[in-house]
Amino acid sequence: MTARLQVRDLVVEYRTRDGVVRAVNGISFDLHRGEILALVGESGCGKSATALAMLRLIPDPPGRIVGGEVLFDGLDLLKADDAQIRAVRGNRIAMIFQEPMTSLNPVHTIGDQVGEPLRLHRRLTRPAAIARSIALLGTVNIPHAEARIGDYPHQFSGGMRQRAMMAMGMACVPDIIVADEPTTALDVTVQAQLLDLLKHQVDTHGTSILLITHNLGVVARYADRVNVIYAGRVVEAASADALYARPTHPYTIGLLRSVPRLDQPATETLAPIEGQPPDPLDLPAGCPFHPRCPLATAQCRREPPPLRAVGDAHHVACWVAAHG
Amino acid sequence: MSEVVGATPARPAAGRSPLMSLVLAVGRHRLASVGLVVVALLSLVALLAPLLAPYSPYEQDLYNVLSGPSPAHWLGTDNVGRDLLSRLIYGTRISLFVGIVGTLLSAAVGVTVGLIAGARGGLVDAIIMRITDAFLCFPPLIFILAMSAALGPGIHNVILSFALFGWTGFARIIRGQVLLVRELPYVEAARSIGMSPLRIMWRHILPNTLAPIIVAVSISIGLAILVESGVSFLGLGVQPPTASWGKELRVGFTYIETVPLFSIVPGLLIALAVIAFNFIGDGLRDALDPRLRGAMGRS
Repeated sequence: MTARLQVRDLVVEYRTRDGVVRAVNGISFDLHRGEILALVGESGCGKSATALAMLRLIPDPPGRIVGGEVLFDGLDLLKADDAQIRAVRGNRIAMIFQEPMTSLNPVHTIGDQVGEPLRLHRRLTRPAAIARSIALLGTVNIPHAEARIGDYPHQFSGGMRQRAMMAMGMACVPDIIVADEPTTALDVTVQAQLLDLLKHQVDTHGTSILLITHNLGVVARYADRVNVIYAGRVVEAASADALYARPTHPYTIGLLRSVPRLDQPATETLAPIEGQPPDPLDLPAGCPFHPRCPLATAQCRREPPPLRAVGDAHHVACWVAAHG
Repeated sequence: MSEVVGATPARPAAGRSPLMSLVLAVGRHRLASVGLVVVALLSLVALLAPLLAPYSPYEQDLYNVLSGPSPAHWLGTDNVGRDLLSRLIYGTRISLFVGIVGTLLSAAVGVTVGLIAGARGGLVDAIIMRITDAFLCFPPLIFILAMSAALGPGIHNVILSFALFGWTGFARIIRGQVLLVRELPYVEAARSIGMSPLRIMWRHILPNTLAPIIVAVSISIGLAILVESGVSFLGLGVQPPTASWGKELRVGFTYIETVPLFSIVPGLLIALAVIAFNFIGDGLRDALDPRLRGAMGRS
């Protein structure tokens, strides 16, 4: 089965006053039908830039997609013309952003905004789009949807706004939903409800989801596969089960050790990863993780490690771990 | 779960639009409501001028010039015996017409140009902004006087020269707003659902840039009224025998020692109208500020 979406060697740069920052440095992955793929990493590691670049939404200037391919439905989205990419955005590939408080326009009603993709891509009339929006708000569990359809965003709570954004993302039943930290600003119970909604979309429509998060708990519960990203590169790619059972890259191991687990003895202390994420303007030579890595060798300081298979569909970019 | 949902009190479906809340907020603002009443009265006077004016504004009575107030002529007569009250009532039409049309014209041009500058950026933006900078070097009245003189006297040329100057202010405001709004997440969200740049501009950016424009419009109407009066006072605006507040002020000024009312009343009217529009502008600004903070502050 070929993947629904193939990202190959994506490179994104930002030009800043102090120089060029390579936010995404050759990221590749496949996204299959009906799977949830998580991109995990710290703030600024390039996971959001990857998602934005896929739909060419990187603000230019200062950002620029320097290289790579994003193959979707026989089309390289990075080379598609404006009309082609607009026909994909919100229709075949939808995005859900991380700021529920500001991702809705304060001057239009919820109904008008949720129905917007349907008017754009399905050419529905305004009344038809609003009728459809009521149903969509119902599926994302907004109570009294028909009474709230004429509300303005300021009348919705944060969780409701994010649900409205999800309804908007699901409106055209897209093949792929890119969820960029969709639950970061929300409390834990609301987070679970929203992620269950996304999971439901996968089960009922075979939607593929690219879930961008720094929350390893969310990843463990929802993701099928995980790509761990560090300094703009994939450092470990594995199924979620394999990643939690046999984390291999020292960075992944560090990440997992720094999160409390219920099955851990209460006496064990959490181990933070030493040091700071690298300065993107001045990435270390060799493996970008070597200054923080307990296992770093001379080779790590010299040559960047390639992504190599260490198991069935389990890849790691590490000189030391790959040797076993 | 269902009983929990059912227990949620159904909110009243009073989805008040931002525009409606704005009107209500201005109504609560004391000075602004005074301004609104004054403007409403002046508009009524302008609309109903033929019914309200006791005489024709052109009817001369050469046996009864510069009479001063009397039961027949409440404000007296002018230097050729025309009823001053009637002339000022008709003059209201000219002042409001210049104020409103001049402002709408400059706002239409300014908003369009400002949108283009903010949206396109780069060279287009730089050129447009340097042009507006150049306009800032002129004192407004001098520029408008020069334009009126070049175009020739007449009310339409006053409007045209006002718009030629006034668009720059609107363009600068809109351009700044566009730069601010186009970075907001909902604009990014609109792009992410495949909306075309033109439609994003129209549906998402323009409505969110209008708040300061509404304020600027009400203040600009006052300014345009002042400019018309000034230009007419200097003889380049409305031409005889048409009445306008500025014209009456000019003629009355000649006789200020004998019939002071002739110049005082038009002067008061001009001041009243300008202050009323400024009060409305202040009220709008106060009403719009907290809403903007509420909508954009939390992120």
